Amino acid sequence: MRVPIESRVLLAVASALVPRDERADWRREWDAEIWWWLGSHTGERLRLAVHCAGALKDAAYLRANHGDAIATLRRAAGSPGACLAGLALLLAAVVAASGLTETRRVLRGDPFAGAHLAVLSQTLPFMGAHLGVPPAKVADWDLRAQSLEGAATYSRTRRSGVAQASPKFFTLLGTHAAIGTLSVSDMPAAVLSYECWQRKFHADPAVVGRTVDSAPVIGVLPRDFWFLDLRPEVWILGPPASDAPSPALARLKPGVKPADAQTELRVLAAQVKPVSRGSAVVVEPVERLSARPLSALGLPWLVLVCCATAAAVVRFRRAPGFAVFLAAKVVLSLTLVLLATVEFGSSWMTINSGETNLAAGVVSLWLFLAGPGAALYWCWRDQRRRCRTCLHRLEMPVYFGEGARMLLEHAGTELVCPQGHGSLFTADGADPATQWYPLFAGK
Amino acid sequence: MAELSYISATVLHSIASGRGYGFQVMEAAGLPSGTVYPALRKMEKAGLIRSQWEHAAVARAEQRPARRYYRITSDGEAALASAGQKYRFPELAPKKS
Ligand SMILES: [Zn+2]
Repeated sequence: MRVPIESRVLLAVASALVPRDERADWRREWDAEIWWWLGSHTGERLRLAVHCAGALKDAAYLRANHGDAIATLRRAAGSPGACLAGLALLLAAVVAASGLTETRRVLRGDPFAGAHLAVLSQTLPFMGAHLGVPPAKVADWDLRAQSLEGAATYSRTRRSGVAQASPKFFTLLGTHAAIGTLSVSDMPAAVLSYECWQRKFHADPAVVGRTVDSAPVIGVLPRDFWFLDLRPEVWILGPPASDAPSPALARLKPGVKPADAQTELRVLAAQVKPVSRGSAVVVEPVERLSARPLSALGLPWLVLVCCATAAAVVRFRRAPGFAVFLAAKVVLSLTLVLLATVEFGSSWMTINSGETNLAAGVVSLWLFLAGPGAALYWCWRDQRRRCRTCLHRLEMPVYFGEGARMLLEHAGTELVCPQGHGSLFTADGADPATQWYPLFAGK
Repeated sequence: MAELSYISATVLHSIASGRGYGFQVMEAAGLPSGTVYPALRKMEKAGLIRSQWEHAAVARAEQRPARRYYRITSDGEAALASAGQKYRFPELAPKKS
């Protein structure tokens, strides 16, 4: 009995779809079925083809439910390449989501270079914490200080995305509006950031005159404007809302050194109430503050990367591949933390704004310590659970022993390399011993 | 234990009624091959039925290819009993061979 061509093709296609280890049995069963079919039906080519099309469905079912698809995926996920690719993917996601705007700003440097701008604050001598200056003193300096062309307060407000500044603030910076003007005639007045204007007002040039945060909009900042780590959507220009201390911006007269201005301001500050004992006025050039993310984040990053890489090389000098893999993970994960901190953390940080916001300070401390700490901990933990030969993640944890009987017996976890290179024993409880046993020692 | 679908229960019912291999199940239950086989695979994986290849010598003596026979397990009988309270099984076509 001959099987027609179309049915044979269907069977061949279906057979190719069946997982290899089940294929021979599958084919045998279907051949027997077709033999029976041909014996009980005659001349029904189309019905035989429909019958054989059922083999396709059967084969698809076997393929979809075959264990090896998932096993292959799991094996691939545990490979060192997948680990590095995952980190690289995360990095790419951060780059894509942020466009590296902040990083490029930091690398490009101070947008007000050579403008003799400085941030005025008060420092507690023993802590080095920057506190704001009472607005009354700033107003006094603006009027009387011989070393300054002018001074203006600025601060974040309770509402996120809104900052407050003296009317002179943008004049001192020397910024020109992209739309409208930045010189204030009636207070308060609102100035929008370029991004806010584009996103919330769809770049509508008729935005000037509309009311935002109960103040009329007078202008839009240029696209490339940035000032330290303040990134508000709206600046409200007007008199300070309260007597609460805030940092101040000053433009020094040409030729005046920050140290000279500092001496004069300290003398003037003592003449205006409230006189704060123990804290001293500090004049810091904006140039230096703008570059601070580079020194505050970039340098620790470099030091951490170098130390961790050196430690990896020294610790695993007998297994160069193992050391290189650890170093690659360290570099990628620390870079990820650095970029994420710079790109997404700028609004929570107090690296260079010249003010101390307690909540923001806590967040930046977390970002500084927890981010790199977590990254390094993860690198090390992941490394310990990898095969010393093929770098594949160890699998099949087996727990044995009883924690309560540690004095009498071992208790711990054993992991094995899926490719059989060896096993890792980690003791539970107080004894942190970890030992690697190669299975084919000497080969 | 997972509940059986009506189709799976019908296939299981056919096997319990003595239809031993795929083609017999199809003929008895009137179901197409693309339905019966995946149901058989699923139930075998769940342990409701067990399959066994017939001895090659038996098949050779009868001048036909060897069959893969399916038999219901005790788990399968329990599943069928509970499915029987839920469904009414169709009349099976009489056996031909
Ligand atoms: Zn291995």
